[in-house]
Amino acid sequence: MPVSTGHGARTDAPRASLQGERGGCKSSGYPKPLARQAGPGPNWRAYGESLLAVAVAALVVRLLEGQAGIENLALIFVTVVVASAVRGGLGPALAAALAGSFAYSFFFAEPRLSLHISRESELVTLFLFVLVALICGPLAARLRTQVLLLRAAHADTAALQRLSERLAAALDATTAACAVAEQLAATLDARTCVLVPGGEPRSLETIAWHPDAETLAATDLTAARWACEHRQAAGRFTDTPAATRWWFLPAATEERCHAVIGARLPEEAMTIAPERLRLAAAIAQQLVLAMERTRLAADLEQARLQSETEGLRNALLSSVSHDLRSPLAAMIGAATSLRAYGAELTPEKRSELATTLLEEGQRLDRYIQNLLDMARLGHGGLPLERDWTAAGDLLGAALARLQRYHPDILLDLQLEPDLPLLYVHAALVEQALLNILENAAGFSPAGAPIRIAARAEGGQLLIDISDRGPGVPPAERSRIFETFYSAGRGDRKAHGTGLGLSICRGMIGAHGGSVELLDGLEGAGATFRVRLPLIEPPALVDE
Amino acid sequence: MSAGAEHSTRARILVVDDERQIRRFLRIALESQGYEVLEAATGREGLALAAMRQPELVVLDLGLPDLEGHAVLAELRGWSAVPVIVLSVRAGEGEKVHALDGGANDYVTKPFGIEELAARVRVLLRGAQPSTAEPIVDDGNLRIDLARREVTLAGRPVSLTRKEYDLLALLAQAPNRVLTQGQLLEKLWGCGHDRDTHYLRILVAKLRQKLGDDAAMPRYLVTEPGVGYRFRMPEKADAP
Repeated sequence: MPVSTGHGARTDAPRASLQGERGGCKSSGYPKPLARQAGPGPNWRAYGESLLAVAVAALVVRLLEGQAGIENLALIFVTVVVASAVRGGLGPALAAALAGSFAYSFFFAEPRLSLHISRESELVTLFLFVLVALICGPLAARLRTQVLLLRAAHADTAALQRLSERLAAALDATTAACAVAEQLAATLDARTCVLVPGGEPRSLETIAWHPDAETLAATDLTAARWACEHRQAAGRFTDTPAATRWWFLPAATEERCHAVIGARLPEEAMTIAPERLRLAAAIAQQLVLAMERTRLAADLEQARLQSETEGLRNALLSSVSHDLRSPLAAMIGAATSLRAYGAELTPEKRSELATTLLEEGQRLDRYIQNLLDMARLGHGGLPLERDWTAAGDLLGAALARLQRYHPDILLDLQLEPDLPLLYVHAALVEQALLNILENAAGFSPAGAPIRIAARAEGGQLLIDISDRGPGVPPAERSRIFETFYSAGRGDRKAHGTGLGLSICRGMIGAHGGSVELLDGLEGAGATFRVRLPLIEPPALVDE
Repeated sequence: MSAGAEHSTRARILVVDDERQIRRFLRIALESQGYEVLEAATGREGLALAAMRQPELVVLDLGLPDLEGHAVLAELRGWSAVPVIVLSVRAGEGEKVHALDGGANDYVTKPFGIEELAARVRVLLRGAQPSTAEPIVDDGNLRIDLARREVTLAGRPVSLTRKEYDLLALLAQAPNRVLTQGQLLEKLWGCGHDRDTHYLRILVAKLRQKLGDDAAMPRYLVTEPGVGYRFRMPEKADAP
């Protein structure tokens, strides 16, 4: 899979630029959340807590003095020192040690209420307190830092996770870029934008930004272009000589630069922390993945369309040659027969040939109408000339045309009285209905009527057209509306050109309606259900 | 099919169409029905012939090479009230309405069967004779007495509102001829209502109901989709 190879190659470029960055930044190597919590000065609150803890410990020792020896109770102070170290680090731990030893010698060691250290053991106690503080303080502080770092790392992982979820759902490059711009803005606490190579060579266009739309100056774009072409970070915080306040990170594989991510950090920022850089690089990688995926999907869609168009063209060509030529062949045959042998033929035979001419001519006319309709639908955005139309009128017009082509067809009309008016392009809906009726007539055995039922239901007009033909198995029901699909049984003439039903669906669809194929009546034949949305007509002025 | 042949003087029909094959078959068919046929291949030629030979009816193709059919119609209507049937291709309801509102008396959609055109020709030629304007329309089932404003169905009086009667009368006075919905709306509701087609649809539905007419298979009030309505009367072979 191209995606996975891209994955491997992709990581190199951004990481290389990171290596360069790392040399430039030392002291501010804290992840942002930690720096924010620790603050710039000593943490007075931790000191206060330490002293408070010592005071509480002293109280507890005072209460327990009767039960245990004072030497044992001294351990309570040690506990406070260790706890202070864990919570506040070395400083508060030392403070607790000093305060603890002071409290111990003042309140509990003889002589009481004096700081006088009478015994060597007390000196040892003081020394031990301080020693514990010195050992535990840095240890606990480091532990704490690690926990905080872990927490930050966890937050980053979660952010990346959320991002990758959003990217996975993104259907196009812009959606992916927007998710990245937003995430990076949060990660770097910066204004961000995402640029992609434009139509012209070396041009870049901004497709996403956060929080506001950004207009990049020519110098900014130069740096962005450099980042894109060299697969390295460029602009601010880098060695590239560029007069820009933006930092640009390419989202690229070796063979392709998909995008450049720009970040504009606050003016006072001196550098970007390595953790932030790593995260930014990871975000860039995710963007590469997402963009490759969307590009692949678009390519696939394109390829699918192309092969579909190709197939359609072939089908159209064979259909045109078959469906235009067959009636013409019959017409030319009948006409030449009339001209050459007319005198020798009986009047019945002459009339028969004339009928052939007429019927084949009508068939040709219908086919051309189908081709015209298809061309109209194919242009997309079929212009609808809507007007208020009675459903009965539409059916009546379609049935009149059907009877012209199939004079012997039997009809069973079941129209609900007082059908509401439709707001439709009458000629198109009439044609759609005729196409279904012709299909039904083509499949109907002789003597079996076509049933046409219409009723209003749930804001829709439902027109059911049922025939007593062979029906369509459920698996084929959606395919029957595809262009040039025609049931592969029997002779082609009876089954039409494979255009009618696809045109029907297109025309009804253009009105916001739908056509579906259901089981026939009493398990035999097929029922086409046309649904057309009903719109309330404007109120009448009179009558 | 002998209505035309029995006319004492042969009615003269001008066919204006640029297609030679169409003119040829129209000439053969119409001449067989006893009409005299004039042919013109262009709009200019057609107008000249119409002025010189004074035909009783004009069959005009809307898609002419030199002048648009509509322009020919407009010019013709400037100095002649001769009945005009326009020929137009399908998918152009707007075009048909435009022609009908512009003075055409009827239309036939290409491709058409000769029976359809011949029926229109007969209707218009008969309507052109003032003596045939009957005050009573009666087919044995529906009877409309235009002078007394009475409508009966199978002998029983039908109670119509004023608008329903007006609509029926308008259509019945031009039997078998199409009236555009614009024309009907304007005559029934007056100016400014020519786009309120839902008025007309509802009125037609009520009228059909009272006449026992089925919208999907109408006997009297035939809808010409996107164009208008036609009152269908059985053609009588011998007009009084």
